[in-house]
Order: sequence, then structure tokens, then C-alpha cells
Amino acid sequence: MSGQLLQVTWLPGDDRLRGRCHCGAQAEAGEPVAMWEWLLAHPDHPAGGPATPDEAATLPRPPAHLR
Amino acid sequence: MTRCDPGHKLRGMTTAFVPDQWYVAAYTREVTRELFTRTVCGESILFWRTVDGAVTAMSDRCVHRRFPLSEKPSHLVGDTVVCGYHGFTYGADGVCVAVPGQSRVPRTARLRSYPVVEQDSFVWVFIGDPALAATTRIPRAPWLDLPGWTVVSGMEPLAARASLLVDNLLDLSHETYLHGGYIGTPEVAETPITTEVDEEAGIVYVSRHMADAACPPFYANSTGITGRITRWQDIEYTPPCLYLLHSRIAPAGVLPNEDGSDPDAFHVEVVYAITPETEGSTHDFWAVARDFALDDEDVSDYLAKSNRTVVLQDVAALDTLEKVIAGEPDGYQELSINIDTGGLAARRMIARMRDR
Ligand code: FES
Ligand SMILES: [Fe+2]
Ligand SMILES: [Zn+2]
Repeated sequence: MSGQLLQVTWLPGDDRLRGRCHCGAQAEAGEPVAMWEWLLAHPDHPAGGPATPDEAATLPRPPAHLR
Repeated sequence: MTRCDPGHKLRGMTTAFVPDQWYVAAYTREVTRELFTRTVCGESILFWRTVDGAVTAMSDRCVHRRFPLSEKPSHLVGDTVVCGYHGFTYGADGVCVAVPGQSRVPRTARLRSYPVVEQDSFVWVFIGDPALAATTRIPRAPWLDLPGWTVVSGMEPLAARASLLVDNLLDLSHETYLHGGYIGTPEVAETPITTEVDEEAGIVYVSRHMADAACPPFYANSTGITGRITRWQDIEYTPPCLYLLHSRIAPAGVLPNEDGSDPDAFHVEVVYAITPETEGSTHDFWAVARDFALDDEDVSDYLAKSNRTVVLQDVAALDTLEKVIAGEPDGYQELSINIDTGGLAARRMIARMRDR
């Protein structure tokens, strides 16, 4: 292992993910896509943690043929 | 807890191959003094052993009129292969040494040859710029060829893109549903995972440690454990090709000693090589190595039969999924949750390697 480690822990008994960058930055997220985006932004981790998807973004988009 | 995630085709899960990498092309036992062919990353490759036993890899298409050199009546004569159509003859380095009816061999008459290495019971072939082969790592799976371990292995053809198998193997929560009664128990899907990405080494780790779980038949019948177990699944995936599942099984509550020794546990190293054949098909190499019941043929037969059954359950599901995905417009939706943390990390790493 080289030390350039990104870690995402899924906290037992909880639905949250905790991400930790090799630079020491830490944040929590509710799902993995936002978690990786935040971690992989190193060294520019967005302040305030991973974007929390708003209600609209959690609704499935209509199938492509209806768009 | 969920969020829409653009589908495979948007999220770097295109079907192109990662270039300049070593891929598993075969088991060493498959390459003999018979001509053998396998397509890797869209390239049809001919394999054979020289009289001295060295493996050679070269294009399986004769430069003359493209006849496959693996096809009868093409054949080996000593350390040359003779095309079965008009007799072009090639050496172990792929260079044409004889053509019919004339003494001058065209200078450009040579088959593309591939860097090839035998390691850990696999034949690895380098796809890409051969000049990069020597400096590109070949990931290790030492248990497949190591005293103290017994191995069963096989390969199943998968009519699906390699990325679907990567997704499948990085998220073992599917064992509970797709492989119930074999390797799945409720605890697999219920237990949280820890995911680590080593950017420099290019490795994705996913760990799921179950402290007190039911013992699935796969392990009960092979280890003889009858009660509940402590079950650890530690995945180590080195994209694009090699996937290791370090599996530790022990009676519930039994942990390794302080000094790292672990005499009361059973260790199983499950190895997959994920080798793209074409953009829509994959060679699904699987191997199961164990450090117990080393000489027990019944255990070997049972593990081979059971693991093949499990692999074929995945193959059936992924073959179906490939048909569905291939028929959908680009940019279809999928939705990722916590169990997908490792699979998403693998996708990103592969996309980065491919686009580099
Ligand atoms: S195609 Fe091979 S010798 Fe003609
Ligand atoms: Fe599976
Ligand atoms: Zn950072």
C-alpha cells in the first residue's frame, strides 16, 4: 500500500457513509456517488461536504424515449 | 439514501478496453504442443509451446490470406507453425521463415507477437504497446501455485461486457439473493462494508467482516463446521483483470492470534480473472484455493462443482443484463446505494486507466 489511500466506511447500524482522504479531510454522505465525487476532488474537497441530493434529484428521470 | 446515477454508458462504463495492460489469456495447462487460440480484447491470438516448453503468443491470422493458424490443417513442425492454407511458415517470434514456391520471403511477412508470461498458473498476455510490457505490473495470485494450497479452477464464457462482471464481483451483497443456498446467507447483504482506494497502487479494497453469521453450504460442507461462523470477505481488485477474494471462515468468535497466526480458521482464496474477449463478451476465469483438506478429493470435487454452479448463476444473470443494456438507449438510469461503494470506485479507476 502506498499511503495514497481514500477510505469510505459504512457506519454499522447507520445508513451513512464516512469518507476519509489521505490529506486528512473527512466528510459524511448519504450515498456513494456524492461521496466519491467529494473524495476525488482532492485537494479541492468542496467545503460543507458532499452535496446532498435534493428531493428532485432523487426522483427517477423519465425514460429516455419520453424526454 | 439513494440517488440517481447516470448509467454505465455515461459513467465511464463504456465498452472500450484498458490498453497497455496484462490480461489472463489461459491457464498454463491449456497451452501445449497443440495450437490453441483465444481472443483477448478483440485480438485473436495463437498460443503454443516450443519444444523447450516456452509459451509463445502471436496473431492467429496468417499474413497471406488471413487463414486462422489455429485451424486445421495448420500445424506445428518443431518450433515453427505451418499455415494450413498455402504453407506460410512462422517461427516462435512470429517471423515468416518460408513461403511456398519462392526462396525470398517478403521482409514484412511477420505475425504480430505478444509479450507473454506464465505466472500463478495463468498465461498472461500484454495487450497494447509491447515496449511498455516490461514496466507494467502483473498482479499476483500466488495461492494458485503454492505448496500448502489445493486449487480447483475453470473458465466460463460470459456473453456480457467485462464491466458487468466487475460490478458483480465488487458487490457481494448479491450472494444473498442470487446465490442463496450456496454461498449466500442473510448476513452478507446486511453487513456494512469498508471500501478503500489506493490511487497510486491502483487497487480497490472492499471488506465485509461478519462476526456471527450462518454458515452457507459451500463452507459447511467443505470445512465441516456445523455451527455459526465468523466470516470475513476481503476483496482486493487490481483493475482491469485480477480480482481476489480473501475469505476467512472460523467458528463464531474465533479470531486470529496477536502474532497474526490463524491456526483455527479456514482460508479460501477465491480468484477471478476478468478478461474481455470482445466488447460484449468476457472470459470468466475462476479459481478456489484452500489451505485445509488438501488431499481430500471429495472436498475438491464439491468446491469445484459448487463454485462452477455459482459462477453459472452469475453468468445467466449477466447474460440477461447485457441483452437488456445493449438494447437500451445511451444514458439509461441506474441508482446506487451504499452496497455499490466498491463497484463505483472500480469503475472510476478503470475509466481513469482507459482515458490516461
Ligand atoms: S492464408 Fe496462410 S498461407 Fe495463404
Ligand atoms: Fe455472484
Ligand atoms: Zn484530500
